[in-house]
Amino acid sequence: MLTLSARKLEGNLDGLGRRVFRVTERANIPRATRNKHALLHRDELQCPDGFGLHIHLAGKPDGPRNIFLPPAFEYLSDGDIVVVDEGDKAIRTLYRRSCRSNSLLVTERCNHHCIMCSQPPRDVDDSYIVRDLLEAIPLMAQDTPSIGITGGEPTLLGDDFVKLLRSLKNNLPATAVHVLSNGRNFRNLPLCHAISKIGHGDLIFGIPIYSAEPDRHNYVVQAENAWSETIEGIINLKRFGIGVEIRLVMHKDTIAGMEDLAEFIRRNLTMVDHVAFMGLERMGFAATNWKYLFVNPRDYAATLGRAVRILDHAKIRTSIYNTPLCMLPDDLHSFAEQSISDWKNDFPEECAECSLKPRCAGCFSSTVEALKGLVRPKRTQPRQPMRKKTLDRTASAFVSEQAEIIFSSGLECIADVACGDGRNLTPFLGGKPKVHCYDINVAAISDFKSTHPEIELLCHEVDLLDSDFELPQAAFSLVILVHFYEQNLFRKVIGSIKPGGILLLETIDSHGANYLQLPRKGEVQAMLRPGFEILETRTGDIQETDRQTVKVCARKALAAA
Amino acid sequence: MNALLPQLNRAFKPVEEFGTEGRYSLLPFNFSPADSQTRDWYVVANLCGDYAVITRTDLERLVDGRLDPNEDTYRLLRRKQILYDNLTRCTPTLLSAKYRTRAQQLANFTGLFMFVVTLRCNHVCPYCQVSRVSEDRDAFDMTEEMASRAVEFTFKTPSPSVKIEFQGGETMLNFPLIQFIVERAKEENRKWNKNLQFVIATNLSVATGEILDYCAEEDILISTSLDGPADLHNSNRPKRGNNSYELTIEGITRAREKIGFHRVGALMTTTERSLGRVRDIVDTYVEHGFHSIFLRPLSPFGDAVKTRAFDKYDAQKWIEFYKEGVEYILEINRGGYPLTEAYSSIILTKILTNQATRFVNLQSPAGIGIAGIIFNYDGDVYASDEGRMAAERGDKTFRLGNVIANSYEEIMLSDNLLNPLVASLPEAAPMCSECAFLPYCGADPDYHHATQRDFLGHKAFSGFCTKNTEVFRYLIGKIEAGGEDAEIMRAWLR
Repeated sequence: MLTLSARKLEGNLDGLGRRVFRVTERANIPRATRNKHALLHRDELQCPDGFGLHIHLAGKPDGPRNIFLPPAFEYLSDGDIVVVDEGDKAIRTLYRRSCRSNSLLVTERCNHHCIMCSQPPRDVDDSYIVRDLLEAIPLMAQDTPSIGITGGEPTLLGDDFVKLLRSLKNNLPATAVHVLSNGRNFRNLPLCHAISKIGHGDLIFGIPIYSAEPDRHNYVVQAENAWSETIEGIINLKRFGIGVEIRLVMHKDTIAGMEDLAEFIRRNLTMVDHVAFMGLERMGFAATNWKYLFVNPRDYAATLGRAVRILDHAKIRTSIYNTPLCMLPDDLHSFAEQSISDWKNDFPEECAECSLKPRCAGCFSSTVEALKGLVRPKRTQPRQPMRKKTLDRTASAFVSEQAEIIFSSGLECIADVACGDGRNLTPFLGGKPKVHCYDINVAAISDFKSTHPEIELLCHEVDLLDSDFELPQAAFSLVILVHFYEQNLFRKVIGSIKPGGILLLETIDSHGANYLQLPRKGEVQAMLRPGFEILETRTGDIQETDRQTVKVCARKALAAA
Repeated sequence: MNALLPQLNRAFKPVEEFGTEGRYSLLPFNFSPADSQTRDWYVVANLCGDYAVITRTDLERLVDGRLDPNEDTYRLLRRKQILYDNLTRCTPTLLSAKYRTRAQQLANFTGLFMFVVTLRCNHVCPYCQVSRVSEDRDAFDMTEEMASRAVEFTFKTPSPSVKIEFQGGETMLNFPLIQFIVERAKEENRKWNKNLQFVIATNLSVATGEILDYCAEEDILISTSLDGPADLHNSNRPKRGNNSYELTIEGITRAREKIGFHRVGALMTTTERSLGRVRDIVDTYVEHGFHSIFLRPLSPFGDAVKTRAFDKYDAQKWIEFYKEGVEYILEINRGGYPLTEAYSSIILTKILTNQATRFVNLQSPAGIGIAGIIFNYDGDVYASDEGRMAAERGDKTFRLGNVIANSYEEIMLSDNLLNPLVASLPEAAPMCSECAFLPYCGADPDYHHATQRDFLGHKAFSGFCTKNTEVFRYLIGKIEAGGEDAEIMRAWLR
């Protein structure tokens, strides 16, 4: 996450006051334009004259109009815009040239108090913000693709809000403008009229509606009359042909009503330009109320799908924001957008190998921890066995050893999960058990069938990592899981063992980056503790990671755990 | 409240503090039984067709002001804008916007213009509304002068879209006039820049390569008849040689190759012989790659009356045919083959949306003249296709004038148009004005004039009313039941 502001910095800002600058790295821009610019010094200490300010990332030369910034500001580059305040010795980055969609916060005041607000309102006089922005907008690059306006509630600025929009239109005519607002002040027709008169060619208001039930919406935003006034505001904007997008943040108090809301929008607000379903960011009040509000996206994927399709069938443009692709069923992937601002976009480490990562929204920096255990990276090809190809299909050393000990327990029905060519089954066939094999590729096991025609072998061609994949409960007297480990799969494996049945688990040996496929230290043991008697266990910690290799033979207790 | 569950921070007010003050007001709505047998469940619907299905008890409590704001039924009826309260004061604004949307197509005025280019035909269909004329009588072709004046008339409409549909007889027997009309229309449209579309209704039996090439060049759509499998189709459409089906399929194939697969549509006509064969008919459409089928009722007009074909069959039998057909079509969709039933699609669009459907037979006010109008081969102008067919039987009730002898104003303000429009208006009619299904329904003065000698008709005796009411109930039932069928039907919305 980028640092966009800092206070009490070192430097000499005497006589500066509060000023907005465009950052440049070029020391020899024409003199006439230097006053508006802050020269960025990465190591060069010499300060050519004429510049309004010198920003130093290294070194601290003497002299006026110098400010020294910590390494967190190394991202600054040509074309960025900053505001610097002499009194606070503060700097704030208002705009980044390299950012696809800059967001301008115009006020922290708000007439709502949403229970999940990521920018909690402050009742302060922050009119200086608008002054900064009116100075900054003319300095922004002409080819800026889009600008976002956020707050607080931007329309509380009244005429200043109209001024901002006019400035954006005049200075950046080719830039799309997206404003976040609760829409209530658009009940006021003169305001709509004033905005319409600006004649902005690409302006859209993102307005939240959290429920088709007015009381539930009003509760989420903690304000009386909000729902009815918001809708009147939307209708008024549409009277003037101004763009409207409806947003819904998905959390505990909005998910249950999503389908009814989609139906309500479909029927009553057909003229909106876009509807966005948004994943929750863990900032501000959302962080305070996180335990209450957060719902695993996979748990609401079905209802989200129905809501999206209600709108899509009605030809209303619909998107899903801020949600990783692995948490959505495949048929919703086309609606998912990479919506998270780059400066707060992050991925859990497991996602490094995922083939969908280039298209995935990932997480907020603030939600990486919460989503870490829930993501399911997708590997590009079916997993190849990590073991060397063997012509003589003998079981692994560990399995062969354990087979000596446990063979005496009668085995009627056994399962080999991630069976590969089935070599780990060979020690257990004496009693002619019924065998179930599970693998993403059952071609390899077909040889086994022909060399053991007396064995009743059932092959299941499945993606073991698919959340919909299920094993039968309490069905097997032995389950073998060798060289393939994943926590949810392991949980299903444990459940599929009969009371008194045996688990044989052997993870891969560690080399290179494959440690990510191994269990965390203690994970397997913790999952086996309730209900299993460990007969034999061998582990190997991987240096500089929290992972370990595990070989375990365990028996499930006879009494129900 | 379970103390172990996570709670919202105490600084925030709970949802209970945002409830309604408890009193509610009713918005204008109608109610009708949800099924024909019992009186336990009612469909309540407002002016815009937003509906809910509630019990009789709840309906009575609703009207008496005794609904409790905490009940699910209260929330449902508030969401559907049957009632409103202090939290939903924006409701009248929403209803107005929706009602204006529904009424918008009236402002657009006439959009469909049918040109009967010839009465000559090479088929002899028993239900045919047009008198049987052999192939050789040139006196039954429209002239270029009539066609020219008709095109001028057409472009007087304020509608931003114009659809010109060629009818007959067998239209392609007078192909040169079709070309003439297309050229004149394109020329006239240079002034107006309307969205102009052409459709030729034809049996495709005389569709030469040259004709199809022309259709491809001019983006003309083709609409042909496919009544079902060979035996059914041929018995419905006798022709010398008895090979109507083979010719139709061959024509469809060639037309698709020349003008594009999806630019060739097929319509079926239901006769006595079709009832009981709906699965075969649907199979025929699937076999030939169609993704849309229209389960049409048999109209009580023309040769149907003459041959008593209509007497032989009544509304109830058609309803069974329709329901069996739709269930089978849903099964086919579930199997992965997308197939839309067009009549259901039109009705569902009226029930679930406020979009115009441009289906002239189910509009209110009636679609006669103001949605669609027809120029006959002799230059006479009729309010509807049914009206011009009635004229062939000697009944000129719906004749509005002549495109050469009369002006646009004389024709559009003719008593023969205004009287049936006013008389048949459902919003002003007994039974219709109180029917929950009013927003989905329409007026059909042609039908009621033919069956009851009255533009409005007494709906208790009307097959039109019986059929439509059953369809509304059936489709609402399917949507309310949810599940895969409802999803499939939602995909049929226009």
